Amino acid sequence: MSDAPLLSVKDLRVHFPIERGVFFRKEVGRVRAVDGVSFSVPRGETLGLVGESGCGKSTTARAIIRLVKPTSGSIGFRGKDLAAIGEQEMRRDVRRHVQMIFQDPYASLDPRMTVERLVAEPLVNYGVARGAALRDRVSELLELVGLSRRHLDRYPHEFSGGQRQRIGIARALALDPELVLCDEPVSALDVSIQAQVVNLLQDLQERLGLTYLFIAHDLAVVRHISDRVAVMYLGRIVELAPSDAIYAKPSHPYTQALLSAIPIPDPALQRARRRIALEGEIPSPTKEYKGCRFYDRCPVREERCRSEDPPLAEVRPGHAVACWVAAKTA
Amino acid sequence: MSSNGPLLDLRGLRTHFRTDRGPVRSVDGVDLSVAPGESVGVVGESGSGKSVTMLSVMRLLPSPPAMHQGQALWKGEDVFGWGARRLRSFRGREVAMIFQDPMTSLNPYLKIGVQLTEAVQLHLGLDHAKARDRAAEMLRRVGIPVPESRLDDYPHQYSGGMRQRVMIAMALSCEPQLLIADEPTTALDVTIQAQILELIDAQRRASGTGLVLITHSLGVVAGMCDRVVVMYAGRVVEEGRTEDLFGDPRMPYTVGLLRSVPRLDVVTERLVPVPGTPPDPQRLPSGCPFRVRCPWAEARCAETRPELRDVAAPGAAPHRIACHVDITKAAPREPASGGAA
Repeated sequence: MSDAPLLSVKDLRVHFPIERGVFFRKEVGRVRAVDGVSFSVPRGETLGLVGESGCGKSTTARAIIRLVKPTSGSIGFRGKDLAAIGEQEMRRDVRRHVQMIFQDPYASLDPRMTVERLVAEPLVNYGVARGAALRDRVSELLELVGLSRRHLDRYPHEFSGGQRQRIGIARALALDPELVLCDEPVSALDVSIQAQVVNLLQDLQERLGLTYLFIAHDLAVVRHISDRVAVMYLGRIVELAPSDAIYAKPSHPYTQALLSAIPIPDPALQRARRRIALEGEIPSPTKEYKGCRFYDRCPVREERCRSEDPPLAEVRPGHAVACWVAAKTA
Repeated sequence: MSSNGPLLDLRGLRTHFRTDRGPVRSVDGVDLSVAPGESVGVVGESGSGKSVTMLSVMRLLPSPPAMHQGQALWKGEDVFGWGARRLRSFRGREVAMIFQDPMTSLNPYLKIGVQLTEAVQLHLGLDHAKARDRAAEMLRRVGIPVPESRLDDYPHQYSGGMRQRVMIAMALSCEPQLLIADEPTTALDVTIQAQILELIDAQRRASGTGLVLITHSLGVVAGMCDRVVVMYAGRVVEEGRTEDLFGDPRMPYTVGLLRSVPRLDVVTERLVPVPGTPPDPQRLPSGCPFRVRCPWAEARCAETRPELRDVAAPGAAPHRIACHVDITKAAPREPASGGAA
């Protein structure tokens, strides 16, 4: 691919200071939610971001759209560095091109607004359409996500979870964004409804040429929808590869453990599988590391891993791993 | 009652809630049994009645608004006929329950040790020192390091996975005959989820405890349960041995559910969703509640609600479905395009 990627994140860090004191606030530590993350997403592709709670996957998305301020690093998008520009420029030039779909459609829609107002709001804010043209555009958007003009005057509580998520998607697509950040878009939905929304997201991508950053903890869903997958652990990407490769040949010991922990709905297969048990639990992101962050829990750790931080490096073309042991054996 | 009868036997259990807008039929005629030492998975979407069924058995729903009908037999005795004293020894001593969110089940003001010793002092009559030893022993068994010192910690000092371990320790401390686990790992991360499920499985196998595992995850039941019960709109719609149900699902809802879930081990170009949405328990359609979403639905499905019937081969373990249609013979309709949720 010769084009520059649509989104290019380099060494992104988002630290939250922990402060003490009433008059003289003093920083006593920091939560390193995102701590040196680099990846890029070509136009029209889907990058899946997976990891357990606290690994920094949502914070990464929130930093891209500036719901939190990046501490350092750069976020290249449409020729601008989103980490460096001001709030006003962000709102004026960038936000309409990057939109977000949230996990909980019950919390992200204002219960006092009708569907028409909810979906029209971004169009009105950016002065894109008004009057009859506005109503037409809103109807068009509703049809795009599988709802209809009949729903215009209804309120969010009249809809099921799946339908509400469709309203959220219509709202996100109102301004014709190029990049859509999907933060656990199906996790709160019923099992039988998840597939409907996943299919809708895939159809929309094909029709509108959207680029997705797809965040989820369900690796089966992520594998299904993503072209490439990045696995995060404690604020870092530990493995990044085409989605089939990451499932066929997981190389980082954390990815291996994570995959082995996911149940498969097939009794014979599931009973025969061996789970790779990890020691302990995910440590606090306030801790500072000299070596590998996974050291304490790693089943294959070596002496070097304690003192030297492994970089994310390719072990095969397109398959990058941050692990000294995997780099040696690849 | 003979000793080889079921531990728990639900017969036509109904739990309706009275509301200003008419009754909500959350549980609407459930038949389900659990044998001693058996593990049964109860699968269904939110609102299918799986939790309300088990809360009804434990008599944990205030009545009114909950109105019960039918029978819930515990070793042949109907729990709905029991008074407060009998219920006290039933809950905790004979049947224990673990809930989804351990933070709401643990008292934040009391030390873990106090909460763990309360049950064994009450049910097993141990004195304080013995109860404390037992509590420490239980914490060790569920994998909490240095349990003696953690007894004096408060719940907030434990992580989410640790708290769920404490709940398991507490539930098993009085050696119940049946453990009911209601989505015990839904709030936890994947790697912790696997640890907790393995722990529940190992502990209950060691003590011969029966298990009812309520979950929406098909993968979880596939690995852990002898038998699976699928619920939809307040009733059991399919029930059978785990291998039979996954290998040869016969109720269209189960078929749809299994097909709609992406699998880690299989590459699928496109998912096949179950069309439509789960029904509103206040406005159930006539006949079979799944018919409006069902690709096999026929005219008779709108007329009568199908009763559970056995479709297993003669001599094989029972495999029951609540469906008028034999999907091995009938062809499904093509689902209507669009299919808005």
